[in-house]
Amino acid sequence: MTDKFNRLRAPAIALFAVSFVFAHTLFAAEVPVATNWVSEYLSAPKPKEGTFVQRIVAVRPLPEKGMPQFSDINRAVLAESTYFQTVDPRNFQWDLRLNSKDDSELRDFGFLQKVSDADTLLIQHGDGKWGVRFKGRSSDADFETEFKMNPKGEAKDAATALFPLLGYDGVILDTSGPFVLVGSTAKTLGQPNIQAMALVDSSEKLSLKNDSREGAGLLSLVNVSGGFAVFEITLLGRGLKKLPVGTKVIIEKKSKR
Amino acid sequence: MVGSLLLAENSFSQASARDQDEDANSEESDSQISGGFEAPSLTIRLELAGSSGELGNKEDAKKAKAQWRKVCKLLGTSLKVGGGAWGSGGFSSFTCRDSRSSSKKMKEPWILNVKRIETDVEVSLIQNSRDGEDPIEYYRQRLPHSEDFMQFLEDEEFIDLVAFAVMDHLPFLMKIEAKKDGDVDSELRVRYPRIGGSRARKFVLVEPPKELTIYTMEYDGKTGLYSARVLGAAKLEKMEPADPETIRKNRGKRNANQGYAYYKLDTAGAKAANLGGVWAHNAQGRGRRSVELTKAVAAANAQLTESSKNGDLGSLLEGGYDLLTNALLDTAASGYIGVRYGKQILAGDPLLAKTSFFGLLTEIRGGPLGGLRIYYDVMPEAKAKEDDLETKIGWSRTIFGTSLGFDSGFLFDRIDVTSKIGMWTLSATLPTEKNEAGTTVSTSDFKFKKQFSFGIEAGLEWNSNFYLVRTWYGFDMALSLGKFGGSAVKSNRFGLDTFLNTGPRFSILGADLKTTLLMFVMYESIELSSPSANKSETGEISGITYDGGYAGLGLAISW
Repeated sequence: MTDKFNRLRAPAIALFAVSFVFAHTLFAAEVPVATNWVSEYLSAPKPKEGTFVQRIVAVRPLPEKGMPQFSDINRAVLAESTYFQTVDPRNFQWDLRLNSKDDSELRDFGFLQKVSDADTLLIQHGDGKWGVRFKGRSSDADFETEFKMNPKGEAKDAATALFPLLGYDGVILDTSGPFVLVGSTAKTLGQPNIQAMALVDSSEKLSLKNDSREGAGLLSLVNVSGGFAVFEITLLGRGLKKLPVGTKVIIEKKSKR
Repeated sequence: MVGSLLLAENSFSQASARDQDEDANSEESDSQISGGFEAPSLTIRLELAGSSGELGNKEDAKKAKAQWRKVCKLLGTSLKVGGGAWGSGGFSSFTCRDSRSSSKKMKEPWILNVKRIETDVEVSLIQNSRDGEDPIEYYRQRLPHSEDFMQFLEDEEFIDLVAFAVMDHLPFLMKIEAKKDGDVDSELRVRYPRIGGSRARKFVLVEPPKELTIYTMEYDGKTGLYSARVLGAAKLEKMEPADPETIRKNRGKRNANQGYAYYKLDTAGAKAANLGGVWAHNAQGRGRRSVELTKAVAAANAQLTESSKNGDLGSLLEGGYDLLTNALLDTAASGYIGVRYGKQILAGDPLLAKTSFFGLLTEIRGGPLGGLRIYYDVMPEAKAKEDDLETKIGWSRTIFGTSLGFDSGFLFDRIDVTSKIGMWTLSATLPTEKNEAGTTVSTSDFKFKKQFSFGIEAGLEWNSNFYLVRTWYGFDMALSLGKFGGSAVKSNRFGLDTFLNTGPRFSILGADLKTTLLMFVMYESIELSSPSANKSETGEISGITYDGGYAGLGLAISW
């Protein structure tokens, strides 16, 4: 019996070693590449779970007459520097013309958000003063606030200014096994080897400014694409099996040396 | 203009858009445009007299039902893709329903309601295709009801106006269909509103949108919202109404050319439009002309109602003549007068070789005298000596004709038949006998003075804006029962007339006149018989036939 065991031990160990290497190779191949995942995410319909900023339309204060005017925010820069999706001004203006009964509807921010399917409206008041109007799937999530930034600030600055208002640095947009796709700003994600903490019960809340921030999991950066990053879940909180889409994260900020 | 991209007829110009600046969205139209919102079908609920058979008299009910069917068809056709004024129309098909339709059918996706509500008629258009929600009402207008309202709706000008007003309120004004030949057009051609059976436009002309946006779109049944992708734009370039003559000629004809408006497409718009399956709307947005259009519909309805009250609705709709002045004005409004001169082209006969032909002709093309033709032809007396015998011939004829014309539908643009009456005067001394050597040995006199004549003429016509070619055959016969009793003249002739509209245009007393060059060639065989003809050695000669051929030029002034 012992001889038999000894005879089988070496092949078993070899088989185990090969299986381990093979499985590890397979596992390693499944590490998502941020750019691919982002393309897939952007081409899919908007997630139906989670409450978070997804689609933005940036306008100037509504005029008394005529069509709403768009802010001078640069859509391309915003797209490069954040995960936000923006509304094409030309299509949006035409949607307004097609869907509005008359000009009175064009004076209603709610109508603008409905037609653009944008959850977030940025209103550029001028002199660096901005308004934010978030419309969630339920009225509980509705949120309005204002912020100021350098009047000469660009689109990426507007995005950077938005997160502190909300009380977190990013949001989980999608999940795949032990990996999550996190949306934030390119500036925040542009640091090497950072870690992030997912916040418990945060998926359906837009703002966490006044909430306690209890950790739900620890994430390690895998790769980055602009305002998107793939993180690996390295530790999950007790009793948690996954991190739902919409979960907010706080991202490590490394001081510059 | 070489041609144009035409909504209703799907014809395209060869004008290239390739040289234009690339538009920012041009790449979007490079690929095949597919999917998205497709032209829906429309249900027309026409709940007016005749729709439910409520009329007691069986004959009246039958008549009303036929009228109901006609009106529904006219409405539906004007709302179908390419069927309305200025290229409007966005429905793929339509179904007519009356007040007896089940309530289940009230839930059909798109419904145009025309119904009596107390003292008004309400025209409304709703969309039901919204999941579990109330229908969206895009258009509603109430008009004071008239007993003749159904008759109003038989008028194509009124129908075009109502349909255009309805379409302007929808998220789609017109659909541009796919191009067939693959060439890129930069021009979009749309038709003028029709005038129906009347002699001129009755209502204020509602102009086409100054600018169009070209797009595809999707409809979200949950929100009831349309989401568009803008592909390009088009600007109104020019409006070319048909000339009054063409309008009069075409009156009462469906899809008759009453003019076109042309849009210049930008590069992206041209590519998208040529791929087809795209929508276009007033760049100002849907319903932005609501005030203007509802006012125009109300004004037209008021005008028709007033006419109905005064008992002259028929005159207004069918171009009848309620006032003598109107009739006179209309009579004077269209026609031509011309002169022509021709020389003999058949060689041989020494007398006939000296003849020439002068004619004055006029035609009235409008008003109660429409179709009247007046000819005054003169052959100035020509003389010749044949073997010491003097021969001569000269005649004149005044002819009044009335013409009936119709489109043949193929090969020719028009076929006409003219019946004629008139008077002939002829004086001739013609050789009636020759000896074996071919020498004229005797002549006979033929004389007719103001002899009554009658005849018939048939013509085939090809025409365009620049020319008119007409080939014709005519037969005339004059008989004398008076002083020259027994005299007769028969004429068989055929010819080819070409009118070239190449002359200058000018204006007199506000009338737009144009000069037309006429070229003609004709062959005529005249048979003369007279009891006064000479008696020859071989017997009594009572008649002679001579043939003439003339070619010449003329000048006409048309208005």
